[in-house]
Amino acid sequence: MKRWKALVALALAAAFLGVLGFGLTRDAQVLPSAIIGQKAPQFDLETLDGDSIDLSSLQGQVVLLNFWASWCIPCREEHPVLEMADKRYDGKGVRLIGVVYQDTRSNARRFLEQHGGGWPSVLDPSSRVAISYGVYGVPETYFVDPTGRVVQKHVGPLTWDLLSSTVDSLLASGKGAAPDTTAASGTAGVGADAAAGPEATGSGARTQR
Amino acid sequence: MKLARTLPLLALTACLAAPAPVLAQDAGAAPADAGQAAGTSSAAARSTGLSGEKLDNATAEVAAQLRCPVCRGQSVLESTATLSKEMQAEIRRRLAEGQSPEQVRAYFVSRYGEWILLKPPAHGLTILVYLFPAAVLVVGFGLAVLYVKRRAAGSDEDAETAAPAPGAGTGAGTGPGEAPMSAELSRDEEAWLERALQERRDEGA
Repeated sequence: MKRWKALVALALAAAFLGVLGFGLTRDAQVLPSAIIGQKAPQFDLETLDGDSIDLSSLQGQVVLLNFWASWCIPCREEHPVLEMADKRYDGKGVRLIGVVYQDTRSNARRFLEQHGGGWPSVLDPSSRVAISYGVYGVPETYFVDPTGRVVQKHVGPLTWDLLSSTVDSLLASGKGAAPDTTAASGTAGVGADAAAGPEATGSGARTQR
Repeated sequence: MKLARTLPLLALTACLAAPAPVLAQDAGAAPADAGQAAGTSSAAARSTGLSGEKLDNATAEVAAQLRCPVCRGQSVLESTATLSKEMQAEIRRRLAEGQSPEQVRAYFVSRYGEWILLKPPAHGLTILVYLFPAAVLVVGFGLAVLYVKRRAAGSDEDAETAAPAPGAGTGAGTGPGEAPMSAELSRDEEAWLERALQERRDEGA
């Protein structure tokens, strides 16, 4: 009887410590995202150049939504990765769209003049679109599959490995579901080439699926 | 033991009773959780939006319940972060469009998750936050009662089984302080007590 009770007490204490220990292994900076698996919130916004982009018109393609700002240092860090993505996936069923977050048109333009980048960026007045995606800060990148669903969110600067593997798998699955996606052809080797790309910098970036 | 049988019942009722006000308070938010589409189907519940001072108050009320995503420890109302200001504007816009506060809250939950609520919702896994302290309190109280009862019962048993005969001792080692707690004295004890009292009386005389 005595031993039985001691065992129960020990088990309870161990369970409690286990919960606390599990808490220690979790990164408090990583916040849960509610948007993953949901339909990507729609928007129709003006680009820096004065055109407009309607997200719904991009259905059938993989869309990378990259929230950024000229005042954001990690955004500079990830910029080459985006440039590489723009170069590699151009015309292959992937659209890269920047969303300017809490910034002015002139500052955002100056940033792109300095750092390059030919993909469009849209302005998000009052951060309405950022809020609709659940953005905490920049940079954040959302991967939208061809059916218009958010499949992944990345907080912090992107790495080439992460971007390419995610996009490739999205293109591959899109190919399986819809055989007429011509865009998916010719991208199979990209993932392998990517090994030479920039290494993970370990700068606090987190990916959620 | 009777107590052992009633304890779990006591614990259960206390667990259910303790968070009841919390549950009642949150009941209003429950339907909002279910409807993630609240953000899009706005004017369904209330066609006329708020305005003026009522809108200010309602905006502040909702903003006080939401966590600022940037500063995290502060509410959207208290925070001076740009995102918090923008979220306040979003709250105000939605309330003005005719959405209920529950719908506005549900919109932010659908985008940021339940993390955005400063007060954890009293359902699902987070209900443990409310139940656990009450449960620990009840269990602790129960154990304490059990311990005290058992100690009292245990000394009863000692008295019956050990049945020491204080009077049989040589006097010095077996004072009345060592006598077990029992109202009834054994014959030896009675004899000892009488003898001791007699001795005192003789001394006094």
